Amino acid sequence: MRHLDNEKIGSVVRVVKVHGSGAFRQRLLEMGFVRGAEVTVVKSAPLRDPVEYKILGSHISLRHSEASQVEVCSLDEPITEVAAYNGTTDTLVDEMDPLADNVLRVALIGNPNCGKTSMFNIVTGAKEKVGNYGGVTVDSKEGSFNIDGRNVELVDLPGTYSLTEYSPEEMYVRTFIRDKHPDAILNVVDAGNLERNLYLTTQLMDMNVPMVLVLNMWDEFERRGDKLDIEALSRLLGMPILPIVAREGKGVDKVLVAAMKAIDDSEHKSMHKNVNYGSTIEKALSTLEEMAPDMSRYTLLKVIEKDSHAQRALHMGRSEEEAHAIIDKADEMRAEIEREYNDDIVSIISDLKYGFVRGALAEVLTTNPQSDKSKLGYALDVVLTNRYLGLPVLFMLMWLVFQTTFTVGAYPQEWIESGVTWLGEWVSSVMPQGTLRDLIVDGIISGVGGVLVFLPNILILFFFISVLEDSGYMARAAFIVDRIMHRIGLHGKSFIPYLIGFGCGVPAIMATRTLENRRDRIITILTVPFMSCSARLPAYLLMVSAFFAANQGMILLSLYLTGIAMAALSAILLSKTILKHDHTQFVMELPPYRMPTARNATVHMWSKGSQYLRKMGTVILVASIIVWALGYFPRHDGQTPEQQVENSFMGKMGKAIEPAVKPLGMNWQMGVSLLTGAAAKEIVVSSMGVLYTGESGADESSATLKTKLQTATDENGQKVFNPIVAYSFMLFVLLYFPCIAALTAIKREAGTKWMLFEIVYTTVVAWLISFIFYQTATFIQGL
Amino acid sequence: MTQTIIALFIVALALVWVLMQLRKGNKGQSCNCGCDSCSSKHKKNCPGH
Repeated sequence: MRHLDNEKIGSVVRVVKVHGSGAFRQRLLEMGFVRGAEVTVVKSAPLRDPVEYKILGSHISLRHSEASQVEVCSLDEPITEVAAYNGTTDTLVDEMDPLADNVLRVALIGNPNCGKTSMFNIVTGAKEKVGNYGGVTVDSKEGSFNIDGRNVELVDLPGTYSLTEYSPEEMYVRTFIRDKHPDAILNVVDAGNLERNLYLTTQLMDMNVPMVLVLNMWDEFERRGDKLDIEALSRLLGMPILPIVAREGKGVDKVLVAAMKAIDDSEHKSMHKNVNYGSTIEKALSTLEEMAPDMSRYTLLKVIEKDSHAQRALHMGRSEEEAHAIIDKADEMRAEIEREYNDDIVSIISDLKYGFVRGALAEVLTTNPQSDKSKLGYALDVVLTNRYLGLPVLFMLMWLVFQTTFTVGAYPQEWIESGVTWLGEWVSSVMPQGTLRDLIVDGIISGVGGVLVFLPNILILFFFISVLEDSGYMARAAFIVDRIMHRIGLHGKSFIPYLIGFGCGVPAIMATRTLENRRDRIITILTVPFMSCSARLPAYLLMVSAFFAANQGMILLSLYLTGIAMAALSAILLSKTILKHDHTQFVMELPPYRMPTARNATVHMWSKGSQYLRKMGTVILVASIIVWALGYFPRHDGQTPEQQVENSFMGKMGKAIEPAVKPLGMNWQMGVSLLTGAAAKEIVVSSMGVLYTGESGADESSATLKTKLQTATDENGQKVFNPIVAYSFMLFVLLYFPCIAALTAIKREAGTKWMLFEIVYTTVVAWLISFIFYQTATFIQGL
Repeated sequence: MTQTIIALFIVALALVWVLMQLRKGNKGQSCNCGCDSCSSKHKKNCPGH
């Protein structure tokens, strides 16, 4: 018996059977690993595992251990496969909610990374995040639009390969259709990968909801020279089909008109066709339809498949006896079907669905033999996921991004710095001396200005992240590092929350919902905060630009890598101790490379920038005022500014915690700044801006925070900061407890116990790492 | 003196803002979507509910 993991790179084989059970097997079947499907072994990752396979035009990443579950044979071996179009007309009309306030509800449903959110943004004018990898949308997003005087609510749902009960996003979409009764479904499919995408369509068709099939990325399809008889396919599937280019908004208007028409038509009858599953299954379905006429064909098929949610749905609105009678009948028929096909029911249904799709496409799709999709969309993989070049290129790209963040960002940063300094000086010159002037100059301008100067760096960093995401490189990064993820006991899917964690911990923690296993989720939630979020960036930028002028990019990269390493070590520790768990499996799709669009990068940058500015006008402004007040009062006559701050409320608080931060090389001002960072991490910098109101030196009033830190001295006249202290401080900022918003997200997703654990764990780790670094570096320096 | 009164008033406003946020805090965060402007409709659709 041959298995996929033993096949050589470059070989092409045919699937015989997928062994194993449960969610992983189901996922493989959904992705096209059905009897008779051709699989090409493309290449292995730089660390030898996972391996990239091509199936149904998609590139899928599988680990060796998982590929060993797929039984294969050579292309010339005889194998019976289902490939016939069988459609039946159905005139069922599903019961729907009355239209509340004349608002229609239209849902966007489709495979991950097929362009649903791009279409949503175009139609509703929203700026929701999109990326060239699956799993970006983790819950529904709602927007609205008007068409012919009708109000329509458009709902963007998470991407899903099918509607089974194995993963939270699949259940989410399924429950949405069942409970929210959308008036129409816009089933968005990637025109370049019809076979796999239409698998979900076959399930949606069985749900009897008015539907429009939207062929996205039509420009790429045409460029390849492939031909599709849209009219014929529309006839075969029994629904309107329209091509669009969602990124550019081409064809979207026509889709909306078609959706309205589908809703209007549905008032009379549904024009859907259903997949004909052959006489035995069709007989079983009609028997069950007679017993439960209120149930959709989809639900009844799921009852036959022994789906627990469908079985539970049967109990609603009927007695226990009736429900059990239906389930018993379904069990009896399932046994008969499995006997006839000599396979298990899940495989049989998947095979038949793919057979239906294959049969329909055979009649309408002509692919251009001269255009090899893999060559067009995957050409860059020759270098980017190359066994020897993959990892060095990944590190080089990361370094380049960080270095450019500094070098290009330095110019606008200087302009803002001069603007902030000028404003402070101007206010000082026009206002008479007094408490209010001190509040405005030393509190608001120093605090908010100290954070504002980093806006250009944030924008540049997020521009690059957006470009990397849109191009499809991020999925390759997951492919390259998967072996490492596996070693640390994590699911490859954890890579996506980690990636989002570089932006903000809150959506990253929510993104763990795509992980099926609760233990995987908890470990990922607890380790995501080690991925340095953008709010921590101002603290690094300040310290790096002040004390590491020669190696800015490298120092910043080292911090991010330390965060990643700590996340990895923590994951190993947790998975081997309190959260012991079994081996996890990983199937991931590698999307084709796409040219990032200027619109998307600008939208992403703008949304990050406006979020940053909003935060500055609220949390950071308020925190600066409070920190200033705590550092300003109580007032004592005849004291120097340094003595004033030292004897203030803040000074007393700082002195109280000084013993805890002194072994890390920090003084009380730094300790207090870290504490204030609990509200939001940017406040660490604004607090320093307020607390370092100027020490000795002639130009103290005009000095930027950077120069203030460079020249700050303690009571003995010794410099407070040096590169070792600065790095120790940055390590602490990187690793210590996340902000309140992230902690609240942890509480919601994992519970209070894990939130408290996270506060203690991260703070202990931060203290230990800073302590070890500071003490070791000081010792080595003293040698 | 006027400057001190205005400054103290601003500090008091800041504190009131914090208190309001704390009060609103749990209510506003009840939706897991993470966005500030989460509508009540949106909350209903959150898987956490």
